[in-house]
Amino acid sequence: MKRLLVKSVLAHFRTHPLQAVLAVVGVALGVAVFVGIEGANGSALRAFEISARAIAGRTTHQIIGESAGVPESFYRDLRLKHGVRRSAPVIEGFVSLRSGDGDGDGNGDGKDRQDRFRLLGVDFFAESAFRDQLGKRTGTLFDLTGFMTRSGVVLSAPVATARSIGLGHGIDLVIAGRLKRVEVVGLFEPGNDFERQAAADLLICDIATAQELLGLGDRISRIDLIVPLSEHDRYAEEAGNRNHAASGAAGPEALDAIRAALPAGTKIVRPEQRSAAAEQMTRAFRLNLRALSLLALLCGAFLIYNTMTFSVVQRRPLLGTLRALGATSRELFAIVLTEAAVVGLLGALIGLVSGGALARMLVSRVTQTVNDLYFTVNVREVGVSTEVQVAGIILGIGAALLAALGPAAEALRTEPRSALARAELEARTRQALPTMTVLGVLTVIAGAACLSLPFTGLISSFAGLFMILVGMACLTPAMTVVFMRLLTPAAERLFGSLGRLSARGVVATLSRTGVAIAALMMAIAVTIGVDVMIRSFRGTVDRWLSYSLLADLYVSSPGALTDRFTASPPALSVADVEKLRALPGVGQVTTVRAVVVGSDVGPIRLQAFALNPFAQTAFRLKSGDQTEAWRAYDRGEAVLISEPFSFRHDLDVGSSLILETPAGDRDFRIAGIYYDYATEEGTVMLTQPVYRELWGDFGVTAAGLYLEDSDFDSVKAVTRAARTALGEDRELVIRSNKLLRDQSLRVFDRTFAVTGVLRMLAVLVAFVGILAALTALQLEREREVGVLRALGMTPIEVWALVTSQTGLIGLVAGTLAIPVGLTMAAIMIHVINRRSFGWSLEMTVSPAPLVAAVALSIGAALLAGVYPAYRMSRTSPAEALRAE
Amino acid sequence: MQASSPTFIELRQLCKSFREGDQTHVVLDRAELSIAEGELVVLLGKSGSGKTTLLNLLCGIDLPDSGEVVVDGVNLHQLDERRRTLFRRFRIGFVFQLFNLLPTLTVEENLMLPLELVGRDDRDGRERVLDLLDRVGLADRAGSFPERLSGGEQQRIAIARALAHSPDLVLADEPTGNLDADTGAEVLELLDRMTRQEGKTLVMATHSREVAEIADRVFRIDHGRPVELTSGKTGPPSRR
Repeated sequence: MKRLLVKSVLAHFRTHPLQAVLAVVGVALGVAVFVGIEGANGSALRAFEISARAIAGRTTHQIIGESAGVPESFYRDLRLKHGVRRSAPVIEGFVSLRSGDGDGDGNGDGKDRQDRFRLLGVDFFAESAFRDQLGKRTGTLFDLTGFMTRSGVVLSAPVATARSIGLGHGIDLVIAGRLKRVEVVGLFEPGNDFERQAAADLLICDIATAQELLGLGDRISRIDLIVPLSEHDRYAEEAGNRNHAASGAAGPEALDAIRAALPAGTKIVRPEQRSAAAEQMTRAFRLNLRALSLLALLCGAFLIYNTMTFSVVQRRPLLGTLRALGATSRELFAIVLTEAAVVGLLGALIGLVSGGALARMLVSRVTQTVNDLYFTVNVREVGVSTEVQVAGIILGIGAALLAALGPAAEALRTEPRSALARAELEARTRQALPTMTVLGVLTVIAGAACLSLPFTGLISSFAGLFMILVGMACLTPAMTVVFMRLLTPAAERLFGSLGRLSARGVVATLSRTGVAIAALMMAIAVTIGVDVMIRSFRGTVDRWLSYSLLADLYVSSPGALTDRFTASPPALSVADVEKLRALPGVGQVTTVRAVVVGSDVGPIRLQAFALNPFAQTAFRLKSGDQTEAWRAYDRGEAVLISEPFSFRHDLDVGSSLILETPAGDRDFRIAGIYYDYATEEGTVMLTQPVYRELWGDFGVTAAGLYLEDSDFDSVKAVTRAARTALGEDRELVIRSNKLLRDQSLRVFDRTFAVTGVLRMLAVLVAFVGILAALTALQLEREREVGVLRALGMTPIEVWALVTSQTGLIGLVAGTLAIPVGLTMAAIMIHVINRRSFGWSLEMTVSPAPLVAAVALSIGAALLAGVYPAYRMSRTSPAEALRAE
Repeated sequence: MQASSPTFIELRQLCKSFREGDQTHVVLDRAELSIAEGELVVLLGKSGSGKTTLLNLLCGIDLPDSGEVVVDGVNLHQLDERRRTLFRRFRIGFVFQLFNLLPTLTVEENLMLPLELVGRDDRDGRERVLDLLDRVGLADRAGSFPERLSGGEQQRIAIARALAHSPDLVLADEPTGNLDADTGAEVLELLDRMTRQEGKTLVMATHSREVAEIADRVFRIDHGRPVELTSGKTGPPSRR
């Protein structure tokens, strides 16, 4: 590219630094949101993978229980009867380590803090083949006797140093709300960075200590195995070809032998399957967040488009002169695109840095949601992977280039010595209005078609949503013209010429205001859409809770239903339930046993309920005949499945579901589909007597107590009585109906906390966009303002003119955002949510958030207009007119 | 040099300079000038000689480094920004080289704007606007937007706008500078006729000697000072 040519064109940004800064900020914000979300999501998944890998060590296979772990006796049998020496028992659970003011008094002085740690219970003598944390890495400082006999724990030396913990110190663990003191009997040195990261939340203790601390009785979480397989065998195993795998080699034969000995409800998996399962489980959640972050980038792209268009318009006389001097239109096109690429690159680089910071801010919210909804993960290190960084840069530059294509084409069309830049461009914009409107309508139709195709997946749904949004943005200029025509008489009556000037000014500079309004409209529409979606979702969940939580009190173990990877043992026995039933004031008791069992569609959550007819009303059927379904269920002939389960596995009333029971596979008919918002995986309901008969499991996960009097005092009295009856030292959670409902809604609110942050960021991007647009407009209208000032308009009147114009921009954007936002909400509720999670949500719209959104739009526009209005009101007429 | 009518504008020891980097460019250097009410004065000079600066100082959109600008007994230098603006609003009309009509307003609305600013946007005001449009020969273009008009038509509208609110002083900065010779002559004739009909004082900056022919008095800005040349017209000023 010719140096002087480039220099003459690029000098523009040197003289208009604010424009350049705003364009860069637009890209930076968009990229930051994307990188922040991806970084937070990735860190959560990586933390899970690192801890899974570190805990797995050299393990090649694991025997896991599908419901409540593996009986400890099977481990003994495995070693002694079956001679599997390279096996090790493992218990995994979560505890909180309390540290702070040193005295561990928990006196509420505000200095105590609790951090979640993964407690790993192992058998020291079986360990060395699997993991290095004990023995090899602890060196001579390891007190084996203390480990085996005195509730000793081992942790990493860096973690201990950071918390001023030394060998022989007692530390307090909070487990299910109770304080338990253990002794530090060893410190291990992580061998590398990976081990250091994995060790950041790891406490190792003897298996018996873990059983006692976690209250697991005689069960263990899993058995680790080392069964070396050749590449060929591994491939065959992955392909599910067991006969092939078993041909000849020792590894496959050993695995087959172990499989043959497995007790019911257990199976062999490879450790990496856990990470894959974690990734799969959270896919829809992460995809939804990613889509929201891309929406912020889309707003950023509008901002770049706006800046680049304006910079080209401002330079049209220069570009015209350059064309007259012999610069080709291609050269000018290339210069504008290069400019955009530089803006994109700079913005992307700043976005990467700020995205890293945003990731650290968001990770706690993302992790909280993952912990609430999917599995327990503890993120100590937040990082943005190289892939995400590269993607961020590509997205930043790509968005900038895409946004600059239009303006670059504008530069391409510049004719030599073109003079009347503004008027020409505005005339062209007006001419292009019908085409753009038709294009907008076509894009909306294409988006709607994309959404309505029955076989499309989630990504095409988001593509459809994006197309509809872009289409609506294309319609914005035409809608603005219509709006302003309607508003002008009112503005004129209210403010005279000023009102007319400001209303007409919006239309007269449509090439710029159109984009600014579209960007603001998009951001406000996102706010409305997300807000209506969350409110509808929350309303649906609230209604569901109100009819599904019928009992007055619920008794369960802490976190009974939340974690798939560290499933808890049954909280209650049959005897416990009888004790509860016998309590004075207790009318009826319903119970549920929640387990994960194998089926022809993979592992599923099974809930075996013992319900009275009244409790059955807690389940509302979406499909299936109410009477017939419950009759078949009560007889144990059929199961009921939740709505998300039906969606996920494409099962309907009348389909069959094969459950793997200790007594062999059993085929169940699906008699009904019920509404359920507890998990996105979905659940299957089977009547408890049949479950007990088939699985031989008489445990109870949770019990619901129906009291004779449900007033506050009775609930309190029964709670106290239940605690006494079941034993004060039992780790049970007894919650009233109201508490459980409040806690459920709190989890819901936490889940959407990260969405709130994203929504705010989208508005911020739009705010920067409108600031850029208005600043640019001010620069361009300097002469016009000079004329007005020369005609005798005071600075305050100029200020009022600009402010009323920005207010009008906000009003139009806010008003147009209402239908767009509601459309977006409807798509998210009825299409994207259904295709992500399979839930039916009832869309509820109240006027308050819509009014608030319009107010936000006007407020944002007015705020963004403060500086341009100030600048314009301070414009020296002499300076402005000097250009003559 | 002094006109026979009472002094309407007086410049006293007026100095104005601009800084360009490290250098100071003196535009007006102790300039002195008196203009009588109703006079048509033309300021001649090369580009950059200070004509526009002098007009800007006359209407108070720029301030001198030193010296005084007194218009109808009012020392503009002593007024604050707001009072200067209001003085301009009520007492001065402006005609620009590039017309500077507001593109977002129709022709009629462009003319109504100064009237509205002075609070005369009533029926009489509207009648005056229509009368002015009729006098500049563009009554049929009242509802058009400026971009639809030719350069000459735009400047005729600009002249009407400058007179709409009946100011005492009309300032014109190169009013024919952007027009071809024939159109320029038409516009000039119109400006002269209209201001004389309305009895206004007109100060016009130009670099065209032909324009000077209609003036009562002609000044050339020379080394930062207005120097009076022979009048373009024979005989004394007779504008009233």
